Amino acid sequence: MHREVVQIVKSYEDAINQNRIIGSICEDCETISVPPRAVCKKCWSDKIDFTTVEPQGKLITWTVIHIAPPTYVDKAPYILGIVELLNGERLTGLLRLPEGVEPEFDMEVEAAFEESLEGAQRLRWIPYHK
Amino acid sequence: MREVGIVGVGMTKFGVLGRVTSRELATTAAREAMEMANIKREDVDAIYNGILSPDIFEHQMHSAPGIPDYLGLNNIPSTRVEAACASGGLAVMQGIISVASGLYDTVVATGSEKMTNLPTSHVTEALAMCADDVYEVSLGITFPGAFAMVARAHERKYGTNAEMRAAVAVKNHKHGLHNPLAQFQKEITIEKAMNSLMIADPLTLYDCSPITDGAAAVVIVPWEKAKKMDGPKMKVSSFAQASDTMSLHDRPDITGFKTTQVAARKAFERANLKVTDIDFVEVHDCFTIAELVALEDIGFFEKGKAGSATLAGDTTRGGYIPVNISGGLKSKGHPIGATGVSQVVEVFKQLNGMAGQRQLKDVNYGMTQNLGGSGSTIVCHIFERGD
Ligand SMILES: [Zn+2]
Repeated sequence: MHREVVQIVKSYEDAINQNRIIGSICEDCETISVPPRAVCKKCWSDKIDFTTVEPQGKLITWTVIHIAPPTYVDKAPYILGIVELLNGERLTGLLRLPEGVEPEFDMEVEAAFEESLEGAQRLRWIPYHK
Repeated sequence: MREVGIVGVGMTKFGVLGRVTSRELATTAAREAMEMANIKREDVDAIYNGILSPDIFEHQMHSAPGIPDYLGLNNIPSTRVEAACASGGLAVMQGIISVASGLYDTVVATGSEKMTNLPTSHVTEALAMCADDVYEVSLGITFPGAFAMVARAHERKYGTNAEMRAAVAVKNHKHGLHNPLAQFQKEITIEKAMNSLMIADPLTLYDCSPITDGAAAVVIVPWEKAKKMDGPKMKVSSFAQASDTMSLHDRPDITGFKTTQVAARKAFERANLKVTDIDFVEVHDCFTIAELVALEDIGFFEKGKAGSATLAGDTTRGGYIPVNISGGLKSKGHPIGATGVSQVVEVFKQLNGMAGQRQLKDVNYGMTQNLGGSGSTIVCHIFERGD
């Protein structure tokens, strides 16, 4: 019997297109991975389901990219950072900060989505609004 | 496994070399290494070529057979090895494994890259493809950007600042003065490095290695055979490789690379050596922060201490541990596939008294650390004197 390929990347991209961030949740040990994974990183089970996670976290590091690849040249300089979600998982994303707001460690951010784009590249992080 | 040695090395000038193919560069370096080893061409059993992307840089796929073709060694196996910026180190390691296994008796491991055909932004894009395409590249990551995020996290946790990073660049440029094959023979100052063009904040131009063309090669034989040869030689004490997540964000700690820690530990265990046995090291300073992190991860310094040690001169020739006496990637240049092989070439020259003006005194053990991606692949080697 062969195993069906679970389209993990497509599932993530589809969710982002619907303004949601998903992770995988292991049916055996309930470990959540963001981005989702086909094999549980803790117990190695491949019984995986998807779960929507809180689109909120804190900035743990960042850079301001001045020299960019051709497809991003028009956007430079842009801020790229790693955000630790409330559940401890992490994602890379672009920061969209209001004029005069500088990135800082542990800055609280929430996900926003670039309407004109498709898939994983839609993800943006903006300051958290209570 | 059989014990293995290296009996010849070759290296082209590193730099902006104009209209020449990586295949010609690899052929030149390999021919030089074979001449030093004094082997006959019918002795060569196989070739491994570390190269990142002749496809993107030169519109040439299936590059490996091109090297035995130009060397007049038709019909021997020739294999391309790609592991991002660790391609060269991995090609050497594959060569060592194939000789150690008993399959082959004489192997040429080469590394080559012809990068300067493309404009800088296109090279940046090609290199970025070594990161995770879905979760990093799609969002505009670059390699300076990835290491900038490591630098910022390291600065937060340990206080490793811009001056400490600049000290790495100043030191490696100073070392490169005495390497005629290096891309740059030019001293720089801390002020100049810190005030250079911002590439990916907080990394400036002088925190980054350049874009380079070049090739290097080594000849690998069983140690039993090497011992009977008259020329220069060194023994492979050990080698180790490790992998980690493609995306930086998937690692619990980004102030170091677990891959370097694992590969270095395995290399020390296999050689039955301690870090204090190593007399000098060539580490992968693609960015200044990468050298500092590598020195901490291998264990030359405690975590967070490599920056102040570099400022204090502990990593210069004559210091506690001479680091990147060749000039490192920073000054020697970083032709991706050639880099890991050129690190081995430097260790060979130092252990055989062939390093000219930059020759270190009384060296018995030399180590290399070659990094791919944002540390997703690491290859470490330890070598010892052959006499
Ligand atoms: Zn599990």
